[in-house]
Amino acid sequence: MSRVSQSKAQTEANAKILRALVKQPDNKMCADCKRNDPRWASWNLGCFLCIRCSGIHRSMGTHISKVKSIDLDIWTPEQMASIQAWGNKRANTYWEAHLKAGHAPPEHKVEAFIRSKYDSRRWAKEGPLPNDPSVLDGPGATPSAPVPTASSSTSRSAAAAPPPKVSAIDLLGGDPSPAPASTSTSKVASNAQLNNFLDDGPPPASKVRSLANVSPTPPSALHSSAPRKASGGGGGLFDLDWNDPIPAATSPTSPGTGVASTTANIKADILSLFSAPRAAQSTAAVSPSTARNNINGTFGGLTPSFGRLDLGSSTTAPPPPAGADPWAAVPAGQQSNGSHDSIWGDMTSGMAAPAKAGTGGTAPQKDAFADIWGDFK
Amino acid sequence: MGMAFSSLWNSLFGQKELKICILGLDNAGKTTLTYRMKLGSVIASAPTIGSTVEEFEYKNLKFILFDVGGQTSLRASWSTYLASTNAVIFVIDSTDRARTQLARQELHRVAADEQVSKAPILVFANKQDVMGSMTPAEVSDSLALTTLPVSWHIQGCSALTGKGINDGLDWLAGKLGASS
Repeated sequence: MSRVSQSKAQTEANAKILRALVKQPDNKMCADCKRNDPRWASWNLGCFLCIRCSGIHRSMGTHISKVKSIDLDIWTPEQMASIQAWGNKRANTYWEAHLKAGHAPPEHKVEAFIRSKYDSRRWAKEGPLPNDPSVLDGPGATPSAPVPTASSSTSRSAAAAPPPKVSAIDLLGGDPSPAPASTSTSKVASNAQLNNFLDDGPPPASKVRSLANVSPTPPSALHSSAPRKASGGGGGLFDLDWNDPIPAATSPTSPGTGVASTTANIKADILSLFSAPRAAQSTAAVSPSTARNNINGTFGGLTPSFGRLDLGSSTTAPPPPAGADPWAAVPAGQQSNGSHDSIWGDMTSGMAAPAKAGTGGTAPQKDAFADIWGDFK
Repeated sequence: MGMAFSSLWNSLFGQKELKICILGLDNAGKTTLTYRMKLGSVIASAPTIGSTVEEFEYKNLKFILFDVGGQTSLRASWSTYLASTNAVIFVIDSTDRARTQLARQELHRVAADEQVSKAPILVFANKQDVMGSMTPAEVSDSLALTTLPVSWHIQGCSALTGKGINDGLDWLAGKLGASS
């Protein structure tokens, strides 16, 4: 057995490497709860964990995660190679590809989060684990890659939204050709808002990288991601925001979860609907014709509620430039609502609040949408 | 003499206290099994650093369970826990085919310890609830149980569902009850 026959010098060298690895900034915090001092690691997943999360990893079974202690275990060369090739950053680039960078689950949801992350692959990048994890940070190594200005404005606007990756997939997957003119004009219309948003948001470099990671994905991979989005319950673009309400809905301990989840669905519909009419009317949006906007809001609310299914189930359904537009325009629309910054800025706290409010009944829900409606009145 | 009297007294009027060491590789399910036996339910556990001690009663026996961590460097300390132990429960992760040879080495090392020469070893082939796990017979083969120098028994079980645990404990209780 290599573990036993391994020389003492080799074992000590490995221990030294591990201690050095865990001191690196990316590995200094637990890959899952983003807290604590990780003294454990999953060598097949290649990430460093705190003891609590390591317990949850072990409970998922060794077919998912093989946990070892940095201090108490002897590592084999194979295990060393894996943990050195991966590390927290690359592991999360893969496993949290569709999650905001640095997302930390709330304390009481850590187990559900970890199971969703690895067992259900909820936020994982499409495709199998790469044999060489260094490909994961390939495009990210050059964030200032030479991109044409037009498409760079697209990437900026798409990247501006905290749930950018899904929207980017829809955008690019639905319309692989260069961004049409109408798209960019709508961008210009909401440029000021976008700039605001960008200022508030996380450093754009990482966002651009994430977009760059997504863009070369072949259409087939995009299709495979579609059913997952549909099953997410929130639908497409809003997947990210529902990651808090949905585990809550599945957890048997939280009361009134049914209401919470339906609220989430209703909200997903409403939000996705509003972005559509706004974007379609991006030029008209400048004129303050309130009646017209109202009508758009009402009817737009119906069509996309059915149309959303199409978006989720087949990205091949011909989404014309205007179809791609709404997704890109969502951040702008959201930003104009002001009070909904928190939804996009911090999905943990931002979403937890409306979900809880939703359990109270319809009144809080109305409040939650007052700002949105206000825009169309 | 005092010992003999004490033993007689206990057999007549008191519960017999039995020290049992629960050993096995890391992530075999020792802690989960310990609490399943003690509480009858599953608790979320984190890796055991060092050891934990739990007592529980089974039939007329009082088991004192020493649940010892299974990480590589903790295994070196197993022998210190084996002093005057009445029985050993060795837990195997039946899904972890890659490490059965390592488990075999550790089990045989424990069985060769003179402190357990009279202690029966109950091998729990844990995680039988998982699809594709090794059957107790497969585990028995890969552990070369037939070459063990002590009395042994293998029992498939699932600490999560509780299945099989009482069967194993029945064997242990029979062994220990008969041995005094």
